[in-house]
Amino acid sequence: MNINIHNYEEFALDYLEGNLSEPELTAFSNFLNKNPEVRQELEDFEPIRISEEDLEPTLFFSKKTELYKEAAVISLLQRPVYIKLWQIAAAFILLLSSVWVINSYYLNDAPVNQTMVTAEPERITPKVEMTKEVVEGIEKEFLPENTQLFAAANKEELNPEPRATLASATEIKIADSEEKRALRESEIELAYNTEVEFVKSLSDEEVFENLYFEQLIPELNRQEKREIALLPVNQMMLEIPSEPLDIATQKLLWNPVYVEAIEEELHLIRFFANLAERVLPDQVASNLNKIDVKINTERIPQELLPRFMQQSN
Amino acid sequence: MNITTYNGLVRDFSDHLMRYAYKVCRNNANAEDAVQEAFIRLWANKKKVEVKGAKSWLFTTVYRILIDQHRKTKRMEMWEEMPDFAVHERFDSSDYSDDIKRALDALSPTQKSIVLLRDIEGYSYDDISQIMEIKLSQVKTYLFRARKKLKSNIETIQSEKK
Repeated sequence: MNINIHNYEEFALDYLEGNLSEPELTAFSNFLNKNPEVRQELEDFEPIRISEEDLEPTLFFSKKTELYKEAAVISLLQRPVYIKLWQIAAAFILLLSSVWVINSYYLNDAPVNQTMVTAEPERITPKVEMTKEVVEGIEKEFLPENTQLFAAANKEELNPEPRATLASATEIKIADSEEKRALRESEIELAYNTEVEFVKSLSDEEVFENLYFEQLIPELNRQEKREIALLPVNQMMLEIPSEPLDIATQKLLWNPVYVEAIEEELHLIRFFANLAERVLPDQVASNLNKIDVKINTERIPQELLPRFMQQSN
Repeated sequence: MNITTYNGLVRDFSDHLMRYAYKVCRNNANAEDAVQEAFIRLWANKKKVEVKGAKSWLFTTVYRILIDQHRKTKRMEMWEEMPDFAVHERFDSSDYSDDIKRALDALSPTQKSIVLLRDIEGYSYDDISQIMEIKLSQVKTYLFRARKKLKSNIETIQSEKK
């Protein structure tokens, strides 16, 4: 090893810090013996170190807010829950209105004098009053076993557990109830359109983030994982395993919402079932059965699975 | 890298990077631009940059941006050979910490950068070599020169006060 006046600086700090290897130390000592002025220089060397205080402690980067990205993942996850609560509220109002109309016009047996056009209309007295018992009966029929949860959901201290349980439970009740068709044709249709518009409004990047949500789970904290574990069924994630999907299949899956950002080398796609079921056309959704779809059903009861997923299991 | 991780990096390191960039280039606006640009590039490369290496990647990127900025204004002048310009300026403070700040500012940008990465960020010589994209031997040489220069600058500043 040749240490000379041209390269000794490279070894000087390691020498001072005691980090030279045995051969290096020997070579450097030989060099110092031949160059006493350098030895003196190193003996006088007092390394000055910089600390945080020597910088500008009051200097901060002022554009953080411009750089932060919105957590579209979370908003997308939470949104369907709000939609369901809104659906329930809207349906409840609709039901109350219907009862009132029925009481007012169809159940009234008082005679109406068709000839007395100018006469003052008779005061209509409902045969069925909206007593506490009637309201409770409606609630019981419409939101069986969920009144308490529903009340909890309206409180600010709502935690993910009742929210998720409520969302799951009410989803089933709505699906099983007689009102399902009417709701499908009115409020749910509106909610559906709202959700489609919402998803369509997402940028490619935001959708991309959501597609990869499952892959990001290891980086989430415990509370976030817990919230995900408690998500209702229609927000569960599907897993399309192993084999790379060809472009045609990708387009089939994601058209018209999302195609471009899916990469060819992608081996694993996970996504939200509610997006697949609601946003994608039925034919496309049914095509999910044609590929090997593996579902993470650890916490998902069979009866809670979406229809097309039940068929595949 | 997901949004949460990225936002965490902005939160945790943007101030570090800002102070580092400001010390190197001595210009608030340029430092801020460099940090902002680095994070924009980070997000654009989020699939390539590993989370555990993101911090050093950011320092590397900020350093490159500062070099580019400097080249635009100073053409191709080598940073490590820039002459001292601040040490002889009038400086009335008697605080030793201010002397160090002044002495640090008088180093060349390359020397400053190495000192900051070593002393403030605690990077190893190997890490600094990767961040600044120079040889390991150069890192050690430049750091040794920088420490000598710091000492010399402080002596000059303090002798001028007397």
